[in-house]
Amino acid sequence: MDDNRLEELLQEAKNQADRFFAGWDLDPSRQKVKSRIQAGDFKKGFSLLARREWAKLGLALACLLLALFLPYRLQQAKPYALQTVTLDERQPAQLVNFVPVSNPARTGQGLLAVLWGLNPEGQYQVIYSSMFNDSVFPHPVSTLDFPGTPYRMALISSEDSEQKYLHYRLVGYTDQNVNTILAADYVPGGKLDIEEGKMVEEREDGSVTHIIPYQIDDKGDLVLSADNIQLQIGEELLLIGFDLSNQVSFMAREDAIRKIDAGNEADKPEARFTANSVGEDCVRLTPNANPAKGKTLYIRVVK
Amino acid sequence: MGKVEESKLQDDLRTRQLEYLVQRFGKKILKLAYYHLRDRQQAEDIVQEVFCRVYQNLDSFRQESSYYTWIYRITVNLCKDYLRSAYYRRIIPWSDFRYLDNLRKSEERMFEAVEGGDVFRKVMDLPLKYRTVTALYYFEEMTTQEISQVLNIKENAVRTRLTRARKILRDLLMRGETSHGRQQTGRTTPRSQKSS
Repeated sequence: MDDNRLEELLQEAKNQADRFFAGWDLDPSRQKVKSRIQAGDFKKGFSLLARREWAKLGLALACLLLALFLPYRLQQAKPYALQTVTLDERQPAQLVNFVPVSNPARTGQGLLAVLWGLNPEGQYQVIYSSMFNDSVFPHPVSTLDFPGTPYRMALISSEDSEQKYLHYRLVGYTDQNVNTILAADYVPGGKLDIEEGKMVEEREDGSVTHIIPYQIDDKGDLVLSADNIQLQIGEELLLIGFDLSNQVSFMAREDAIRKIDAGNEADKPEARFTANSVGEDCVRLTPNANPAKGKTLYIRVVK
Repeated sequence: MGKVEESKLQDDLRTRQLEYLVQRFGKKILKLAYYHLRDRQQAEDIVQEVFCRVYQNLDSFRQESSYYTWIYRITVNLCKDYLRSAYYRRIIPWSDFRYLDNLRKSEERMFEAVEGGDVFRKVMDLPLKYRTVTALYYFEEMTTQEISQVLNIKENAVRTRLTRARKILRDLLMRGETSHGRQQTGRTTPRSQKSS
């Protein structure tokens, strides 16, 4: 399909969109705004937005609580939470569910996270699973982009019943293959977030680690999930590879950050830095197999 | 003039200003919200919320940006909040989904049941970040600079997303044409080749 044909189709799409929206009447919304203003009703916000969904959500929560707390209910391995995630923009969404399981060697409740993908025949099959010990509450699964590629990473996490510990897996996806990029269990008082191309792990002791994954794409280019980052003094930065097959060298200017935990880099596709003074810095990531296809991460350190 | 009268006058002025803004931007806001959410009722709720917030903050609006950019940004932020909300992320009790296949189908067409026109639907099937820039550029005829202001992203990022969106769309449309051709000849179309 050439560009002209695509433009024609997009013009056709515009006409279809115009027809689709033509019958939409703004008056009911206008009236509701008016009555909310007259009633001084500004505080509803999203509760108003989601009012139709509260009933459904309430029902969902009730089911979840029943599943969690009814005696003997969890003895059977019956999945009780399900979420769709898109790990490849070109494909239908994948599914994640959590199955409560009891590990015979341990006390307490665990969760088995299972990631399902569609195979070429259009059937769901398990493409990844991981056990989360001492876990009762699954968290919503978040995703993280690799810009310029259709693939996303998924952050799967859970908490124990007293919400003291976090457990998480950051997994990467390519063509039905799932790799664990990072896994952590019993993170004390932890908080996880995905923001602007990076994952942020905060711990009870106040330590903060910004995690930026990288991968080598089909053309051999190194792709970072973010190309710049701001750190506060004392925070750490972890650059971590999608898989072990590609060796990468890390070179930092070390004006504002310092490399730590060097270890044996040949075996570890990762590097950790700590922000130690206010200023700007950068890290050059160079694939050993193709040094010309590296990438630079720009860093600003603030107080 | 007493304080009560002055306050009433200000309220009247704000109400008239709001009326003007609803008249001028209401439909555009509704469409912008729909491009994000693909749900007419939620889009209408967003419109209400946007204009309530506009009314509340009219006095503090400092005209550092145009009304247009300001209102569009409120809309985009509300849509993002909604998409981040727990409801939208759809943690669903297993009992609601007996068959995964049903879920796959509902995922494919989980939003508005009828989006008239197959090419329009293909655009709406694009992932969110590509769908919004494509809709604003081609349907709302905004420039890349305007889109960058509205979505609060760099203009280069808008261009990159447009290029990527066109590539995905081209693939989707070509698959659709292939699939359509096969159906016409009476052959079975494998599920993996379905266009949506």
